[in-house]
Amino acid sequence: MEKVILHVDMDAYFASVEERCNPFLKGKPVIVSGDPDTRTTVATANYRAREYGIKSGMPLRKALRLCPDAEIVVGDSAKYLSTTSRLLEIFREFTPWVECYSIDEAFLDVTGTAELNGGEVETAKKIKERIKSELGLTCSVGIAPNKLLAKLASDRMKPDGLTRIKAEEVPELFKDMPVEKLWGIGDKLALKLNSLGIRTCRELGDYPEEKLTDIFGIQGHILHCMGRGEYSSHVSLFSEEPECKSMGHSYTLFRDTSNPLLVKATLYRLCEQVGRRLRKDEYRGRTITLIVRLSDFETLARQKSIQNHTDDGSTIYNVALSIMETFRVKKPVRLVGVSVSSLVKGGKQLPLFERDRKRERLLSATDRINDKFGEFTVSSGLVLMEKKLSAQSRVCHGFIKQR
Amino acid sequence: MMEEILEQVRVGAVFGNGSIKPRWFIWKERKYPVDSVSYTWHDRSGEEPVYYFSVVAGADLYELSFYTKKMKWILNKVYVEG
Repeated sequence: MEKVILHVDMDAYFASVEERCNPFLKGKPVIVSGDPDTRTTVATANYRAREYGIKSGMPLRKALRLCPDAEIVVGDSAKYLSTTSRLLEIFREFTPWVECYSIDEAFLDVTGTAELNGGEVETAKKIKERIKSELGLTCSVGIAPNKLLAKLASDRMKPDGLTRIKAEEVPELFKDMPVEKLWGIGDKLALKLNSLGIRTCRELGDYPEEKLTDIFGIQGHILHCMGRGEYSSHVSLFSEEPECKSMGHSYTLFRDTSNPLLVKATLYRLCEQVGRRLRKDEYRGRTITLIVRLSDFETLARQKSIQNHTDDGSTIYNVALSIMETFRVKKPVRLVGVSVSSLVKGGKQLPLFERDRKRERLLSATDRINDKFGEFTVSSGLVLMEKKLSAQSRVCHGFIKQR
Repeated sequence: MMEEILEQVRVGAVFGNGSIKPRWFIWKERKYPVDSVSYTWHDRSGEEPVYYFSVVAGADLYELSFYTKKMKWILNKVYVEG
């Protein structure tokens, strides 16, 4: 039986939610970003703002040069996460096979349930209506026999679209379609494919599979299938927890800094955040990766593995710091990032020594306090130092701007 | 643009059918009748569930939040045109 997959993609999600919240934004170009006083980028722009050439990921300053009258709204992740959970509730009324792909996209497998709602097109229409009536938002829906084609379909008509791609339409559709239109083929991979003479999806499908696997390994087989409109990945059940491979955080400093204390304090805070996430999800890792980006965008990155798996922010910090000491940081620092990989879940051993047991009890107590009263209610003095130094950096920045 | 207020306010609200509908609020000794609730969402402050409301009162937009354990209302923001 051929699968029926829907891909639901919310239209200009964050900006649309903000327009719903604030009716006074109606008809205006709206940009959702971080704090405009920092070096932030555009998270989402509504369709009116996009008419000026504003795109996601663009520095806010550049966006404001394109459209000085745009309304800037500082993004509120709680608002969007809350809305996403309401969207998922709606989806789950249509099928249990709901895969939340990102905060504004989901795949639904309605193979066994579409008939209950009058078929796949009617199901898609009903989902769109529910979202519109309950949340006042629009979405674009793609219907296809697999996730690859469903994602392609939802992208073909935006905003508020409903597009269906049937398996038999693939040869004609793929004839002239550039490979980079396919989900998962980015600029770099497209360039590599182009260098092999593959420019269209059909050319990708017609290219000998053995040659693709020689060049790309296992990915070559997947690319071959993608070029033929085939995609084997199923829609996971909502209750299936995807396996986590790494956890990390990065932070762009308010302004480039040569103050090693601020860099270390920021790194410490990031390590604490990673440790907290690991403990919450019962993961521990033993490979720590540090990324430091300098003012000229040179990026220094290195990883180090330790003997025992850890979920302790302090241990992660000590390893990250030892990596940082190997870097030759000759320019001011722009960004710091840390991640932990080689993860294992659960099965934590009881510490052998009293010192380690004390540390465990301390972490457990601080976690309970922070769970109850909010993140960083209790934290190390280094985190407070970061706040203080960041505030000084901001004042200094303001002073320079005024001059 | 949104201006942050973060002041405790008194709110008259209707609780029922699994929802909360603010009807008026008193801020700086002035009563503001709520004309419409444009959006609602929720979050947590530590373990305390917090409900948020974007409300239109007269020609202005306000963001209220209700802390369910402390049973208090906060006026978070007011939208100022321009």
